[in-house]
Amino acid sequence: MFKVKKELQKRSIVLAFEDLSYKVGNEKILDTVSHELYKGCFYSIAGCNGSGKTTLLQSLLQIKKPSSGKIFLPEEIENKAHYFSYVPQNTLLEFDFTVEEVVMMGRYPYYSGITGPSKEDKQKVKEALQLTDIENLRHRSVITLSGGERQRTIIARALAQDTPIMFLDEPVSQLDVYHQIEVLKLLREIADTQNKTVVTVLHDLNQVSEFTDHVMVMDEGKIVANGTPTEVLSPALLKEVFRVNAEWVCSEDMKPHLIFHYQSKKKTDRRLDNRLLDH
Amino acid sequence: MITSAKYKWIVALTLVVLVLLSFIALTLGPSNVSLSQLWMSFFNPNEADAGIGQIVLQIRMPRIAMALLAGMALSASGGAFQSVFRNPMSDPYVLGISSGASVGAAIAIVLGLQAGMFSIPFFAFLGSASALAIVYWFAFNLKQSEQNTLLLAGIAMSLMLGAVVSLLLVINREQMESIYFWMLGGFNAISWKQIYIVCPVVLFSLVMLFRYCKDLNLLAMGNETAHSLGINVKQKVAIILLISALSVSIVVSYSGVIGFVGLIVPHMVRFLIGADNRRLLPLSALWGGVFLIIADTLARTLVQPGELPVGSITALFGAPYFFFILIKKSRRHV
Repeated sequence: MFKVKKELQKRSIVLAFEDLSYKVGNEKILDTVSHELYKGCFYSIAGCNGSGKTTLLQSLLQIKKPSSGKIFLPEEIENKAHYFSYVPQNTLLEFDFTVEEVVMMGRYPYYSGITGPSKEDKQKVKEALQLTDIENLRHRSVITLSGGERQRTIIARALAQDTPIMFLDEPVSQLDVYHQIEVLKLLREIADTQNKTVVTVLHDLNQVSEFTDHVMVMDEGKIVANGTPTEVLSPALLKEVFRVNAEWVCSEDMKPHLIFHYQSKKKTDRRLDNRLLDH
Repeated sequence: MITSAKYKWIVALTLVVLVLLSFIALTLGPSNVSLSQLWMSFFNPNEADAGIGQIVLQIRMPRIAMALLAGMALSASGGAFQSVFRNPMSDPYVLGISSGASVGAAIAIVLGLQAGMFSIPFFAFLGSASALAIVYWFAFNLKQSEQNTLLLAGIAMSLMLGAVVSLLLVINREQMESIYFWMLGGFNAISWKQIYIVCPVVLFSLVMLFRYCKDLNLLAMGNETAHSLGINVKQKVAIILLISALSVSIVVSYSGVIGFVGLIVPHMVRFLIGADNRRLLPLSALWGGVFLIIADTLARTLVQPGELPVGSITALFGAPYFFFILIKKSRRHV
């Protein structure tokens, strides 16, 4: 499980992992990855489908037991749920729980069934509902919500859990553009003001560069590059890992943006090209 | 969601309904007993008609007690299955757990173990636990989205186990009657002696299940979520399923396979008070009792002087309800 390494605390590292591997049969889903996560930093993990992003998060959470490697924490923890919160890629909402009930589940690790939730528990739930902008949906059944509202409910549950580290697996992929930006702004704010470490899997590389401090690029189970987004996401790497042509441009507000050039031409164009060549 | 004051009112009302219903059920049957005769046989047994006293106290009362216990056990474990398998359509009958118990019981009869008091429940428990183990394997080796595969696995399991019981029937014609009984389900052979065994087991499993309600809420959100909220998923699921198997198998041992109770009751109660298992399971248990007492009274009184199997009455309600949920579910996912 987790090993305690006191010296991490001085360097304000909240979690470190070394040579973490996860194998299914002979296939290495995660291949000896190592990294350190600092307090108050907003991390993103980028990479193609099947590159091991979800497996990395789940191995760190011990949902999947790593085949080898070590995970270090700066302090002894009694309950894993007090240290990590997790927003999975898909949460199944099959039952008529209300939004408030689902968010309150984030406080389950803090109170026993006999005493019921304390004032603090209720306060945290209220804050989480406000932060994710779903307070007005409090008494609605989660089954009746739209995809985006559901996702915000699940994020609110993780917020209510109030942990030093938050893992979110593609938290914005089901949201419309407005709510994508709202959620990412919120996560940025949480990292900045509450000094929490946020780790998200993100597919939109412009969002990676706009919102996160640090990106880990994964390919075939390895972390192939990591650092600040503008430093890491070079056109060469994007070509190599993501198989896309892209370049950085400066927008009017002097912020760097990635622009993608689409390789494949439309079928009709290609046919036209061929015909021209024939002549 | 309803307030806790409202919930307490609903529970109180249910208890009143349960008591009234039990009294009404005591008066109904092949020989009608009036309310005054009922009163006499309870509180003034010396002056009461001895025959009526016998019918009420020795025949109808244990039957009603058994219907209550069976309803409680089946509904509570149905509710628990639904959360563990994250599928609102699971119940001990649909998943083949009850059939597993009936095969176990039938094997015990074929082996001639009827004499021992505990051999039939023990074999029933082994049967239901093995059926549960197989269904569990299916449930947790499939992707979360493929929920219907679980139901199909359960139905395949029921069909297979039903075939096993039929085979046992054909091979052991002399015991046909006692095995056949397990396939239909009913409370006609219940006396106080059986209640003394069933009651402690059912109450024990209910109390144990209620202790896991918070965990059931998290399990209903998916294993990854439950895990990240500090639940040891495998351990908790194993404990909850074993407790449910225990209560289902003890009920099946003495009253046969009674289907759909664990499906209908938690589903309706959830509709009424929401999905929080801390409220759902206790109230489902009570309404399960109400439901089976009604079903048993109908079974005893609809075709007189004969009797219908309770299992066929619940299936008559349950199967259409199953269709109803299917339609509702498919509409939601469009």
